[in-house]
Amino acid sequence: MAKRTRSRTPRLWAIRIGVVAATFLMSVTVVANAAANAEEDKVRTAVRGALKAQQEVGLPPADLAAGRMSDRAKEAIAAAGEKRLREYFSGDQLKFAIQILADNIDEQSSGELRHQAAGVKNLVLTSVAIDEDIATVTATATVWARFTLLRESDGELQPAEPSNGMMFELTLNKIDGKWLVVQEKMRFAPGESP
Amino acid sequence: VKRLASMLATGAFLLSTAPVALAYSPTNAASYANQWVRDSEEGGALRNPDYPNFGNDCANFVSQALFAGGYDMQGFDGDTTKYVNWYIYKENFLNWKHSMSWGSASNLLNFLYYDGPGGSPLAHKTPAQGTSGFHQSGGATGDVIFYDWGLGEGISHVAIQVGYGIDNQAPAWEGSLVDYHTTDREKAFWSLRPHNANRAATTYFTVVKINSAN
Repeated sequence: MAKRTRSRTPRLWAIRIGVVAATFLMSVTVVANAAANAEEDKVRTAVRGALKAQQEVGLPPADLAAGRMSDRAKEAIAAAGEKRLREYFSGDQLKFAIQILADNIDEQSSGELRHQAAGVKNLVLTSVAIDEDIATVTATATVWARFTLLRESDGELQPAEPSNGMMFELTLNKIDGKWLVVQEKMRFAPGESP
Repeated sequence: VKRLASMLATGAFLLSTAPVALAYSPTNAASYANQWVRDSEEGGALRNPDYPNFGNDCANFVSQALFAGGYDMQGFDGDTTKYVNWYIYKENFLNWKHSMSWGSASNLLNFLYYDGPGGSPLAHKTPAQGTSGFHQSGGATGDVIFYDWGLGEGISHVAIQVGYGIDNQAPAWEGSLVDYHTTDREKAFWSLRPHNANRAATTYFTVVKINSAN
């Protein structure tokens, strides 16, 4: 009887150690997956914010629906737009986004063209891959805008509200703990060009 | 004459029913564009069966219109990659042979610059340039407009100017009008601005005057 008990004890300990080790490994895996998922969520949020921001910045306040835009108004729109872009873009891509913002403001300067609203809808992130501090994302979305053009012949405002399906490829870097878009390639989806 | 000789030599003349003209007529080019730009009743795609249909058909369509307007094919059956050559013909019942300049917007622009008298740039502008950036200056019916969507692809679209009036699909927009294929539009406002929602890039335009001596 005593012999049997002695022979069972090491086996029981082995099973116990095995169970503890498996539980530990599972816990580590669960924690790692949760961390990875959390990181992916951050990347997704950053991409959504970036695509939305670049389409929305440069919109004038409602009281500037028509007419020449003052330098002060332009500077205010530029400052607010640049601040928002800096939350999502970095490096050359940030410079590019700021330049586009400047173009968007310039084209509204004379009052001939005026942006009223813009946005992104049907945004789908089709793939997200993260390798340490670099993430690559592909996405599709429909960009839309509402604006008016002043008709020369009668001074009437000509409205337009186009929308185009687009495809995006973005590279993000994790900089100081924050995911920022450092490269963006986009093209019109088939059959969606202007 | 040069074209007829080269076409007869290759037998292509017998396989093509494309109209033949002897000098560039902007009106004829615009008429052709209006006839084949899209099915105006059904609103769908319309293609001249005498030509191939490319997926991105804009340059093929404008080339057809220029040819219908009397712009002679050049360097017939020559090296398809050279800018100086601009042609298309049906090699056999299955295949078409064409220069890159016939079916690609950027190559068509290069051809028009290289060819003599060819075409000459009237304007190259972005919407943000000055206060008149949205108004066509100097372009007329039969001239062509090239587009760079500002997405890093360079020039990737071309349309032909067909007159002045109100955009077919954006009724409030009045100005110079163009026809084009790919997304087929008939009599669209020349800058295509009422059809472009992308604010993350700037569209660049190159307006090319087609010399009537072609």
